Amino acid sequence: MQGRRAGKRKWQAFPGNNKFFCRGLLMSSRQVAILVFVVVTILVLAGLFFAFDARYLVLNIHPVGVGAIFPVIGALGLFYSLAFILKAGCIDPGIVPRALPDECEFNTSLADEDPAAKSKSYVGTPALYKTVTVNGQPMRLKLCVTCNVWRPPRASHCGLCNNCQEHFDHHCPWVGNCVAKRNYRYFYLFLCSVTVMSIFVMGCNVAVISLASTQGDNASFLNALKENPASVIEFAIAGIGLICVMGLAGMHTWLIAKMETTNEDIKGTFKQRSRGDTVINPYLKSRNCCENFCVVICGPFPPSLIDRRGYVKESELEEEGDQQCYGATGVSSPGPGSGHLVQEDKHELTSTAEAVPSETSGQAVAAVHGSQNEETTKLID
Amino acid sequence: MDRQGKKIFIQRDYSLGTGVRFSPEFPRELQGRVDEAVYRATLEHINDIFDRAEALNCRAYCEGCMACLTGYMFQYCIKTHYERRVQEATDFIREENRTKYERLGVVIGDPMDRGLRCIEVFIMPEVELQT
Repeated sequence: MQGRRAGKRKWQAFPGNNKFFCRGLLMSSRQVAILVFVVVTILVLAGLFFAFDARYLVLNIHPVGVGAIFPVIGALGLFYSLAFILKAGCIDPGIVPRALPDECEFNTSLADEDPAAKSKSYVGTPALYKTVTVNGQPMRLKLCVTCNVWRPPRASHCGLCNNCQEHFDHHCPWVGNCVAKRNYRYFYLFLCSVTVMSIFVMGCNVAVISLASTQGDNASFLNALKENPASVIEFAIAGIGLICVMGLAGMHTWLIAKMETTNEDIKGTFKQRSRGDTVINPYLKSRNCCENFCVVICGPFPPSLIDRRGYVKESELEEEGDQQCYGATGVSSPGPGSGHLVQEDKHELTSTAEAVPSETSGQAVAAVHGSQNEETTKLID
Repeated sequence: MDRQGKKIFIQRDYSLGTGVRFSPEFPRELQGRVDEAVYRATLEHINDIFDRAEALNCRAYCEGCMACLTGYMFQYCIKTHYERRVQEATDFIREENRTKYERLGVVIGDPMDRGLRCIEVFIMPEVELQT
C-alpha cells in the first residue's frame, strides 16, 4: 500500500510574497494586520450594537414584534460584511502561475522583433513585448521578467505580493490582499455592505438617542447621550467607517459602470491621447451599466490557477536564497546583447497591456488616488 | 527534433477578449504528424468548453445570485459550473490523447497544468515512434 506521498506541496514552495493558511486552502499577502484590525472593528461594533442598541429598540419600540427587525438586519449585515471581507482577503485573487523552465525560452521567442517595441526605461536588459488584438483594439503585452509569462491583457504585477494577477485592480492593505479577477466582486460587495450597515447602525443610534431623549423623567438630549454611551461610540465608529468606504464604493461603482479597473483608470489606459489617437476600451462590450454590474457581481467563478494543494515535481524546484520555490524566480534572458538587469524584480514597474498607440504609458507610477481616502493603490513599491 | 522530443506551447487567443481561448492555428511542428482538421477540431472543442464555462447566461447569473445570497459559502459545498467545465476539458483531452494523439506520438497537455496560460503539446521523437 502506498504511504503518504513525499515532496512539497505547491503552497509550501510558492515563489510569491504570500501567506498560506489551513494547509494552503486560504492565502493572503504577508501584511494581514490591517485586515485583522478591520475584522475586529466590525465585531466590536456588532457586539456593541446587539448588546445595547438592538436590545433597546426591541424593548422600546411598539408593537414589540416590529423592533425585532433591527437585530435581524444587523445579524444579516454582520454575516455578509464578514463573509465578503474574508473572501476578499483570504483567497487567491487571480494569480497567474509562473512559467516553468521549459516554457521560458519558448515565451522569449514570441517577442516582437521591432526595436521600437522595447522599453526605453530600462538600462541594459530591455523589456520584451508582443502585440495582440483584443476585440479589434491592438494591445501590447509585456513579458514579465519575474514570472516569465506574457501578462494577459488587464493583468499586472504587484510589487508587494510579487505576483502577476489577472484583471489587476489594486493592492488593498485593508483586506491584506490584492484585488483582482477572482476577488473583485467580494471587495466591491464588502464596500457596499459596510456602507449600508454603517448607515443602518448610525440610523439606529439616532433612533435610540431620540427615543431616550423623549422617555423617562429627566428626558433630554444630553441625558440620553450620557445614558447611552455605547450609541455614541457606535456612531463614531460607524461614521469613520462610512467616510472611509463610501467614497471608495462610489468610485468602484463608477469603474464597474465603465468596465475599467483602478489600475487602468489611474494610468489612463483608455483616455484620449494628446495626439488625438482614438483608444477604445475593448472590454466595454455593452454600454448597458446593469449588464456590467451583472457580469462583475453575478458572473462565473474562475478557479484558482496556482493549484496550491498540488505537489511540486522535484525537477521544478529551484533554489531561491535559502528556500526552495517552483516556477520562474529570476530574470529571463531576452536575447543577444542583453546586459544585466539593473532593477530588482520587486521594483519592476508594473504594466498592464498597453493600448497601442502608446509610448511609455505602460510605465506605472506610485499613486495615492485622492478620492480613495485611506486606500492606496500600490502599483510599485 | 532532438532525441528527448519537443515541446510547443499553444498560446492564448485574445482576439475576442480576455476569456479563455487558445489559438486554433495549426503549428508547423505538427505538420506531417497530425491531421490539421483533427487538431483544429480538438482545439475548437476545448475553446467551446471554456466558452460554456464563462458564458454569461441565465444559469450563470442564477448561480451568482444564489452564491451571493449565501455569502459565497455554498461554493464550499458544491462545485461551481466553471470547475465542472474545467474537469470536462481535462477528461476530453485525456480521451483525445488516448484515442487519437498518443499513437501519433503527440501528447496534448491539460491547460490547467500551465495555469490556463497555454496548452503544452509534447511531440515524441520519430525514432521512439517507430519502436
